[in-house]
Parts: sequence; structure tokens; C-alpha cells
Amino acid sequence: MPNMFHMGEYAAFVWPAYGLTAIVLIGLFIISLRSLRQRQWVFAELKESMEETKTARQQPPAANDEPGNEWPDDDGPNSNGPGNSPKASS
Amino acid sequence: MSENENDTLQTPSPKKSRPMTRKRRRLYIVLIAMGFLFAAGALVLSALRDNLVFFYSPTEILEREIQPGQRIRIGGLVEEASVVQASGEVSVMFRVTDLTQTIPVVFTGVLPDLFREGQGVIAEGSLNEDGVFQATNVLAKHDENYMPPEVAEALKKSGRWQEGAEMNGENGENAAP
Amino acid sequence: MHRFANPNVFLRLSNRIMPWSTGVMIASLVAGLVFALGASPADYQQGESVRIMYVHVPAAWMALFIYICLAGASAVALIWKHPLADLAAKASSPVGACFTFIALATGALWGKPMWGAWWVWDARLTSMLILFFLYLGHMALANAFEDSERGAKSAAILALVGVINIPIIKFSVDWWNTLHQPASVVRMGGPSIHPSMLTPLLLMAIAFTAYYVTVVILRLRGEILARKIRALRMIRVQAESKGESGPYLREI
Repeated sequence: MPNMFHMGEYAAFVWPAYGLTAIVLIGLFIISLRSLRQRQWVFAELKESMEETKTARQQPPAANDEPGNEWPDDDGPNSNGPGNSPKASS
Repeated sequence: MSENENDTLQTPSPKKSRPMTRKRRRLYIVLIAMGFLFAAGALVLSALRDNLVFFYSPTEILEREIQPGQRIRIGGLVEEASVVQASGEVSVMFRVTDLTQTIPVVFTGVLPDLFREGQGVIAEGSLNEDGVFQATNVLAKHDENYMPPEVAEALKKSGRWQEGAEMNGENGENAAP
Repeated sequence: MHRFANPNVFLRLSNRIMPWSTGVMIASLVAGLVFALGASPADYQQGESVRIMYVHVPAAWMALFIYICLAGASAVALIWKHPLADLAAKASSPVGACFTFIALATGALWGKPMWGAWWVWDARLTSMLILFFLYLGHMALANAFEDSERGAKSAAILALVGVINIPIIKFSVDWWNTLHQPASVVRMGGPSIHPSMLTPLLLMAIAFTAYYVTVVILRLRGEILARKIRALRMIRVQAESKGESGPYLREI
């Protein structure tokens, strides 16, 4: 196509429209991914520290019987995001 | 948050009906509330009908006997062969029509790219004593048809082209009621 | 239905969906951009500026579609107290707000050269701005309360009340005189867009839908983790108040 990417007199309107769309969508994607990674890290740290407590005191694992804990903390298959290794940033 | 679910999960038959009715009741409350909401919305919109229109057609303006000097917007088609730009002057004169009534318009300023004869237009301003509309702002209204220029040419050649059909045909109510 | 209430079931499901949604998004985005920016013709009236339509219209569709999803999730959360519904609503509203913003901004960039105005207060544009405020209000309410359940409930009610705006947006161009042109694709009598211009439009719509699915899964995972973190902290605080834990618990 000879006129590919040729916007004529409307270049000043077409390119900002595409640029703005790209900035907003990529920005939201990065924000969402970053907040997920951060929470994965916090969660891994928290779980580790609580398990240390448990083993140190040799207490029966009462945590999962708590009535409010409907969210089992088995985070196995779902934490597959790259770079979510708990030690990565500590 | 899930006391009901726990109830249903832990106690099989005797208590099962109670949380179900609670859910059912919440469902009815939401449905009834939505019904009232939409009824209220419809009432408000029909009451505000006149205020929600963006422009009036020439016919409506003549029917309503708009006072000279009152700021309004008129909309319609730019009449074919009506655009006159006096040489050495910046002001443009054209006529806006809804194919029933026609109002002459005078405008001084930059016209939008889509402004052309036979196309939809909206002018903002006021009528003067002579019934001429003094526009302070002119906006072009385009229709919902999109096609490459070659296709438009071919349609025109084959005679299947209806100039302004969308403006005065079945959808004409939108542009020029 | 409550089988999906288990977040681990959802997480396993989302792990299956994610590669597909990402793949579809990238493929249709590349194809859509090639058509939108080059391989499609200029319009007979609007020239090259018609290319703004290929981001403007799909973004506006997504703004409406995501709001319908948001309202559906809010209804499920209010009526059936499904534990994931609140989180799905909370994860969706920022995505919807972004698409609404894109539709408004690209519409202004399209309106200036074509209509001759960045913005007018006609029924379509105004109702779309109200949709943007509804999204912002939902985001604010969902995060406003210390007690996240109260916030979720008031946000859900706002989302349901705002549903009235959706038919208004859709039919505003038919009910009232507006500067905005009537619908071209979803209308009686079939699309009034030439197929060569409909192709990039639909490809971009597919790309945006796949983007929504991908991002909402990412955000929903984040919300589930946040809830797990809160539950764990509560347990720890309870344990500490019973004097059962030592000082070696690190503060996180």
C-alpha cells in the first residue's frame, strides 16, 4: 500500500487518538500486573512468617478452622505469574 | 458475608428453605426496585423531552414563533445551490432546509470540513427581525454511512444513489423531523 | 453455581483462559491495526479521519458492555451473595472507566475536524459522560469504606441504579435530535458501513474484548489475593491477642 500510514491533513487527529488509546490501555495493563505481583509477594511473605510461627511453637494448625477463613491459602497452581517467587525482592 | 451459604452447606433439609426464601426475597426487591427505576427514568425523560433535543428543524422554529434574539440551534440540510460567499467578504450565506420549510442563515467564520451542500448542518445563533438566522457557530452533522469513494462513485453512476436519503428517508426523523 | 465460589476453581479456570485471551488479543490487535491504519479505504466524506472510528467505536461498545457486566455482577452479589461477584465488579469498573475515557477523548479528536467542535452537550455525548462518572463513582465507593463489604454493597447499588443510563446512551441518537450520527452497525436493516471498513472495526472490537478478559482476570486475581491477605492478617492479629505468638513475627 503506497498510502499506508498516510493520514493526510488529519494526521494531527488520527495519531493522537491511537496514541492516547495505546497509553491508557498499556498503562492499565501494567498497573494491574504490578499490583498483582506485589500482592503475590506480600501473601507469600505473610504465609511464610505464619508458618514459621506455627512450627516454632508446635501448635496444632487451627487457622483453617477459623469461621472467617473461607479463602483456603493453598496458592499452588494459581501463582504462576513470572517473577512471583517470594524471595525475589526481599 | 456467607452465613446463608454456610447454613445451606451445613444443614441439609430442614433449614434449607429459609435461606432460599431470603435469596428469593432479595431477588424480588432488586427486580421491583429496577422496575421503579426504569419507570421513573421513562417519566423524567418524557417530561424533559423538549429540553433534550440539541436542535430544532426549520419547521419547528416557524411553528414555535421563536422571538428574534433568542439563542437557539437549528438543524437540517444545506439546500443545494444555496451557498453564497460574497467576494471579498468572509461571511457565508446559505439556506437550511428540512424539505418542508427553509430558513436563510448568515455566518462569519470557519466552516467545518464536512460542510457542503446536501449535507446535514447545525447552526447556533439567533433569528433577526427579518427572519434571517445569524449564526455564531456552524457544526457539520454527518450521517451513519461509511464507504470508500469508489463505492460512492459507483453507486452514483448506477443510479442507486439517494442523495440525502438518510436525512429525509426513514431515518430522516433524526435530522429533520 | 457455588462451585465457582471457590476461588481456587476460578483460578484454575483463569489459568486456562489467560493464554487464549492474550493470544486472541495480540493476533486480532495486529490484524486490526494493519486494516485500520492502512489496508482499509478512506471514507468518501470524511477522508482519512474515519480511521479514528476503529478505536472510538469499539471503545464505546466496550464501555457499554463492561457496564452491563458490572451491573450483572452487582446483581449477583446483592441477591445471591456470591463471594466472587463483588470482586469481579471491583475488578471491572477501572477497565470500563478507561474505555469510556478513550471513547470520549477519541470522539473529541474526531469531532473537531468533522463537526467543527471538540465537545457539544447533545444527548449522546452527555449520557456517555454520565457513564464515565458512574464508573468513577463505583471505583470510589468500592474503595471508600474501611469495611470492604459495606463499600461493595453501596457500589453494587450504584451500579444497578446506573443501568438506566445504558438504554439512554444506545437510543439517544434515535430518540432526540443529536449532533452525533445514528448507529451504523447495530441497527435495523443491517450495517450501513462498507465491508472493507467493517473488517477493522470488528477486529478491533475482538481485540478490546480479549483485552478486557485478560485484564479483568489479572485484577480479579489481585482482589482475591488481597482478600486472602486480609484474612491471614486477621488470623495473626487474633493469635497475637491471645498471646500465642512471639515477637519474631515480622511486620509486613
